[in-house]
Amino acid sequence: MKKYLTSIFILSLAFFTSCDTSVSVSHLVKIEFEPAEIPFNEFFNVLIELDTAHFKNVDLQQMNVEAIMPSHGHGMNVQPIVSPGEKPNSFKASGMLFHMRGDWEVQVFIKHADKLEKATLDVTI
Amino acid sequence: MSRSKKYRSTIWIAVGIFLLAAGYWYFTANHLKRQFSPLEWQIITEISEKPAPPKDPSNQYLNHPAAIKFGEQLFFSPLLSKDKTISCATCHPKENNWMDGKAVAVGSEKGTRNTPSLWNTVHNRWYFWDGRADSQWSQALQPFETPEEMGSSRLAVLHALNNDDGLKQGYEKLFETNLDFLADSVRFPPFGSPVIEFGLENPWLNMAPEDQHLINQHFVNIGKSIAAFEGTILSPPSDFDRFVHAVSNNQQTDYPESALKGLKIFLRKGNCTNCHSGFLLTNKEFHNIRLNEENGGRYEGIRKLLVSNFNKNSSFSDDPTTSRIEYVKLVKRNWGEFKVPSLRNVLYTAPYMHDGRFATLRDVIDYYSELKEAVPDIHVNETIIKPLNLTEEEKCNLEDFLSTL
Repeated sequence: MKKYLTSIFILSLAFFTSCDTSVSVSHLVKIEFEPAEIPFNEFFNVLIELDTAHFKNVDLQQMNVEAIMPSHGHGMNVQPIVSPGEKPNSFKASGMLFHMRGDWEVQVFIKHADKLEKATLDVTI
Repeated sequence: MSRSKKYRSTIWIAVGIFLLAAGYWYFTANHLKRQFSPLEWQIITEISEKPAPPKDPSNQYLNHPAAIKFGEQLFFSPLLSKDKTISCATCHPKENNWMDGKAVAVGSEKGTRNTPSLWNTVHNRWYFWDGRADSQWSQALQPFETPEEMGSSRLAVLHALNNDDGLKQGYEKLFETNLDFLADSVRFPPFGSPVIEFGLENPWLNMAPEDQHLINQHFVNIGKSIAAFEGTILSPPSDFDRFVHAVSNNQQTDYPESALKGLKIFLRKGNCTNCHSGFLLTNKEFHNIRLNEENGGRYEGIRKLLVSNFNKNSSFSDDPTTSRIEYVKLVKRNWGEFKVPSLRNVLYTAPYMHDGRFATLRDVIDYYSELKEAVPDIHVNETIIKPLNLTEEEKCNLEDFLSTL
């Protein structure tokens, strides 16, 4: 699972795809999990580190974290809470819960420079 | 041929027979396992894997032997209900898999929801069909003050407990307290509660805040005792568990072929494990399966949970840090969602669904197969509730599998 997540993350760094409602910045956002291996149907956290060269003075109100199952048409049954992380320009989203097995897309939204920027990471549970 | 040669031949034949038999056993057992992908086998073993002993830091009395014993007394006692005829066991009789077998519960009056079995409920994340409680002790308190169930009030419950020598002694010993203060009927009227409408005559409203808090604390102790007892209601291994154990250990199994086919439908064509996963065969969450849009379900449950004085985030919790309600947010799609029920012992817990509308397992399977009575999906855009279009044989196989859980 760890290897898979790492490769997915590298792929997400490599691709830059735009979407209708937001600008993708997956290559500028580092996403990790706590614990590193996402537990099925148990609460976990997402650790987010923003690229300091691109993102300046981002505060909590500008951050939102969600996750969806694209093939199911639904997301999580919970709403994570974002708090400051331990490092500068980093955040922690607590209260994540993947209650179904399958393909999930973690979405990090950042309201920045008058744009809604979005970083995504695909995860299979 | 010499005697020793004959003897050696006999030994070699015996060894050969033994190896053939062992090989047959090994390959037969593995043959069953090889019918599933590694992920499918992981899902299967997760279902049969016994969970760790229950823990709920919000209830320090869980696993406490004296609390379990006292909780059992309370569970079976009708004295705490309004007319002293209804106990927890009225709707959750032990001899009927801890549920009443009725479409909807009947306590003091006819209710609106099907009574769930109490097997393994200590492992739940949320309680009630709409999840309006986040702990078993909080759940255990609500029937006392629900008119359709016990129809009482927290003040009346404590007075009833105080008036019964056996219950009073058990309570005071367990919680190292004294209930004699209840004799002051001016400060502690015979009935009253903040959650029941008594019109202008609700004595609760005239009580001092510190007295209200005192009553709440003792009332919560009752819930924690009952929860301690309910935490011991754990189901024994099922035929399915024995099948998985046998296959995992390369042992022979007499698990029915039809049930094995049903397991494959459960995992594949049915996609049942989307929601029915893990030891409890539920993801412990809420979904709208298009049964009834008129009922608020989880939407109402969240509203009640967030304002409950007895949620895990309250001062009555023994560890508010374990609360998860801060992650619960009321959204439109919650309308019509109900908790995914456990499928453990499902054969014995008919009727089914939140309102007990389906009398048999076959009725449930027919619903998921054709979605005949399904209402339009207007609050959510989920794509996983689709007609399964099962054949007659597949329906029988699935029913046979479910019967082994």
